[in-house]
Amino acid sequence: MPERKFAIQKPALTPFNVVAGIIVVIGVAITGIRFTQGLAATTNLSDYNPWGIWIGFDLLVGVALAAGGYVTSAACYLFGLKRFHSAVRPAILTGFLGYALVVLALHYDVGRPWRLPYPFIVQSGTTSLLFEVAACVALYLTVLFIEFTPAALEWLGLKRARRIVNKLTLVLTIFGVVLSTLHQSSLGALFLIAPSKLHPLWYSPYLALYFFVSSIVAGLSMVIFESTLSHRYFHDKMDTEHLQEADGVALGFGKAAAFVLAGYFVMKVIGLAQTNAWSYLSTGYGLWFLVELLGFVLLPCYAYAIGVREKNLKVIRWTAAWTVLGIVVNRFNVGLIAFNWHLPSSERYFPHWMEIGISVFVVTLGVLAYRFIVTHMPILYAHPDYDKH
Amino acid sequence: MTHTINTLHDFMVRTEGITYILIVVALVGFVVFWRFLTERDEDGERLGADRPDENPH
Amino acid sequence: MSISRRTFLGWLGAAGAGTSLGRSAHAAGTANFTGYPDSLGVLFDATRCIGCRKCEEACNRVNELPAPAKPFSDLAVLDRKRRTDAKTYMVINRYDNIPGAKGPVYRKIQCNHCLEPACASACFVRAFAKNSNGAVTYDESVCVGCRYCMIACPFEIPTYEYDRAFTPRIMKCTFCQPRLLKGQLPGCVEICPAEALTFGRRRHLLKIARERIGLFPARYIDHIYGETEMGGTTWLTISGVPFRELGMREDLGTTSAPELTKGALSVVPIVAGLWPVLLTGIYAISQRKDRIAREEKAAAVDEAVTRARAEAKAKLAEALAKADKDKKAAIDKEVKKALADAAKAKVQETAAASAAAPEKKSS
Ligand code: SF4
Ligand code: SF4
Ligand code: SF4
Repeated sequence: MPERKFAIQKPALTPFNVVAGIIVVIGVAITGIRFTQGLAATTNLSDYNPWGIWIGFDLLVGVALAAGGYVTSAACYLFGLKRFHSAVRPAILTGFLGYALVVLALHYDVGRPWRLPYPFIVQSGTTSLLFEVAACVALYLTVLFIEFTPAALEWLGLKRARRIVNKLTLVLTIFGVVLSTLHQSSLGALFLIAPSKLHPLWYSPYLALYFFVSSIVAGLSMVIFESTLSHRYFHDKMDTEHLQEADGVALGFGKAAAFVLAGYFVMKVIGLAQTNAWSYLSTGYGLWFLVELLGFVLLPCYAYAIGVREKNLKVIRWTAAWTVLGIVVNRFNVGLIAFNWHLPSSERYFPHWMEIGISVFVVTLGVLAYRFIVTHMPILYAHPDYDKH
Repeated sequence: MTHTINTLHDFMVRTEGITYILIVVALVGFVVFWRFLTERDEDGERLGADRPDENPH
Repeated sequence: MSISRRTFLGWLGAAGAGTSLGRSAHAAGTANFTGYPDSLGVLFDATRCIGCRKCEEACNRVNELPAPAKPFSDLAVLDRKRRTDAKTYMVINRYDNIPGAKGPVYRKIQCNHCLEPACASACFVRAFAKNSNGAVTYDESVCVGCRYCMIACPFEIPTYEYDRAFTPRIMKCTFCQPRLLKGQLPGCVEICPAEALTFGRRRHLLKIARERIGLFPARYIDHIYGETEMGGTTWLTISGVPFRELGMREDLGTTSAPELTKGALSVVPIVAGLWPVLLTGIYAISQRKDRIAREEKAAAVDEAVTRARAEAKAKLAEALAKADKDKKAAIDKEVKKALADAAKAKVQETAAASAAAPEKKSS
C-alpha cells in the first residue's frame, strides 16, 4: 500500500515546542495538586462562586467553539453544499478534540470526577438542564468520535471498517445536529434557574436561543479561523482540493456568519424589549453590554459583509478571529462577569493562576493533538487510496 | 396504590423521565422508519445507501 | 392542588377521550401544585431574636460539625456579615443602624426548605429530595460535585467542601431531619431562649404570622417572607424592618425554580422530534436537486447523442439514397445500353437475314 510520506520532524527545539513543553510540565504539576489536595488548593472557587473559568471558559467557550463540526457537516451533507467538502474533516477533528477536552476539563472541575457517569447509570436528575447538557455532550462526543474515525481508519489502512462508518454518515450528521442544538442551547438555559443572580441585561427567556444561534456563528468563524492557521502552518499537508476550496469556504462561511450575526443582533435587541432592560443600558454593566452587542456582534456582522462583498479574504479572516473573541466575551459575561453581579466586589471571583494554568494546559493539549493528527492522518488531504468525491 | 404528586418538582421528575425515554425511542424509531420508507427506492435517496459517488469526509 | 397517581394515570388514559380532553389539557398544562399539605416549617420572628447565637451552637452540636475558631459565646463574631459555609449550616447576622429600628436587628440564615427547591430541580443526579414533612435533604452518595445546586439556590445556602480532595460534599441545613423523624425538635428551635423560632405545620405558621402582624401592625412589616418567594419556602420570616435591610433579596419573584426551567426543558423533546424530520427533509430535497441536476445532465447528453445519431442516420440515408440513385442510373444506363445493343443486334440480324434471302432466291 502506497503510504503518503512526510518528512517526519524530530521534536526540535522550536520556540513553539519549548513553550508547549513548559506548559505541559506545569499543567501536569497542577494536575497533581488538584487531584491530591482538592479544589481549594488550586482554585479561587467559593460558596458564592461555585463556577469559575473551568466552567466559564473550558465548558461554555469550549463547547461553543467546537460547534464547527456540526455546522460544517450539516452544510455539506444535509444542505448539499458539496463545495465545502474539504472543510468537513478539519472541522470534525476540531469538534472532536474540543469536546474531548471539555470533558477532560470537567474532570478537574467537578468534586468527584469518577462519578461523572452517575447521571446515566445510578440516578438521573431529569429535571436538570445540566442532565440534558451532560447527556448530549456524552452522546455527541461519541458521534464526533465515529465521524472522525474514517481519517484514523484510512491512516491505519482499515478499509472495511471505514466503509461501514461511511454508511452511517447521514444518521451521524443528523444526530450531531440534533444533539448540538440541544446542548448548545441548554448551556444557556442552565442560567434560567438563577434570575436573581444573572444581570438583567444578560438574563433573558431567550438565553437558550442566544446560545444556540451564537454557537452557529462560533462554528462558522472557528472554521475560517482555524483554516487560516492551518494554511500558515500545515500548508504542505493540503491537497489541491483543499487549497482550491479554501477560499470558497471562507467566503461562503463568512457570508453565512454575517447573516446569522444579523439575526442574532436582532434577537438580542428584541430580548431587551422583552425583558424591558433598557434602563440598565446607562449603567456600567450597560456599557459593557453595549461593547459586547455593538463591538462583538454588530461590528463583525458588518465586517463580514464587507469582506464578502469585496471578496476580501483578509478582512474575513480577521473578522473570524474577532468573532471568536466575541464568543469568548459573551460566554464569560454570562458565566462569570454578569453572574453574581449583585455581590460586593470582595465576594466576586477572580481565577487563581492554577485555574488559568489548567485552562491553558488543556488548550495546549488540543493544539498538540491537532498537530499530531493533521501531520499523520488524512485530514487536510484526501487519502490517495480512497475514492474522490 | 395512591401515590400523590404534591410538588411540581416531583411532577417533572416523572414527566421528564418519561420524556427522555420517549426521545430515545423516537430517535431510534426515525432511523428504522426512514429505512422502511425508502428501502425500495432505487435512486440512491436511501438512508445510508452505499453510494459509490458519495464519499463522506 | 395535588394529584394522585391514579388521577394522573387517568389523564393518560383519557387523553384521547373527548369528554375529559379539556380537563386533562388544563390540568397537565397549568397544573398547580401547592406542596405537601402537612409540611412542617419554622417561623423566624426577627423582632424577637436577641442574637445570642445559641441556635448556632445547637446546630453545630446536633449536626456534629467541627468546632469554630471562636466560641459561640463570642458575640464579636457578629460584627462581620457571615454566610453559611462548609462547617456551618446556619449563621446569625447582626444589622445595625437600620432606619426606624431602635437597636440592632438579627437574622437567622439557613436553608429555607423551599416548596419547590431550586437545588433539587438543578441536581442532575437527584441528590436532593423534598420530603413529605417539608425537609429538603441531600444524599452524598450520588453527588458528583458539579455545584449546579449552588448556582441555582436563590438564597445562596448550599456550600461545598472545597478542601476535601476525595470526598467533598455539599453541606447545608437538613432541617434536622434525623431528629424530626425521631419526633424531636430541630436543634436550633429547641434551644432558642427568646421564642424567636416557632416550629409547626407550615399552614399553621402562616396563620400565626398573620395573627402577629394583624395584632401588632406597627411592629411588623406586612409581609411574610417565604410565603411566595421563589414559589414559597417552609421556613418563614417576619420582621419589623424591611427585609432588604436584613440582607434578604426582595426581588426574587414568586416563580419557582422548576417553572423557570420548564419551558426550556419542554423544547428538548420537540427538537428531538422535529429536527430529524426537518433535516432529513432538507437532505432529501438537496439530494433530489442533485439527482434532478444529474438527470438533466444525463438527459441533455442523451438528447445530444440521439440528435447526433439521427443526423448520422439521415446522412446515411441520403448517402444510401444517392447510392441508390446512382445505382439506378447505372442500371438504367446498362439497361438502355443493353436494349440499344439488343436493338442494334436485331437490326443487324434483320439486315443479315434480308441479305441472305436474295441469295436463297437466286439459287
Ligand atoms: S433554600 Fe436553597 S438549598 Fe434550601 S431548599 Fe431552597 S433552594 Fe434548596
Ligand atoms: S453538586 Fe452534587 S448535589 Fe449539587 S447539583 Fe451537583 S451533583 Fe447535585
Ligand atoms: S434545622 Fe437543624 S440543621 Fe437546620 S439550622 Fe436548625 S439546627 Fe441547624
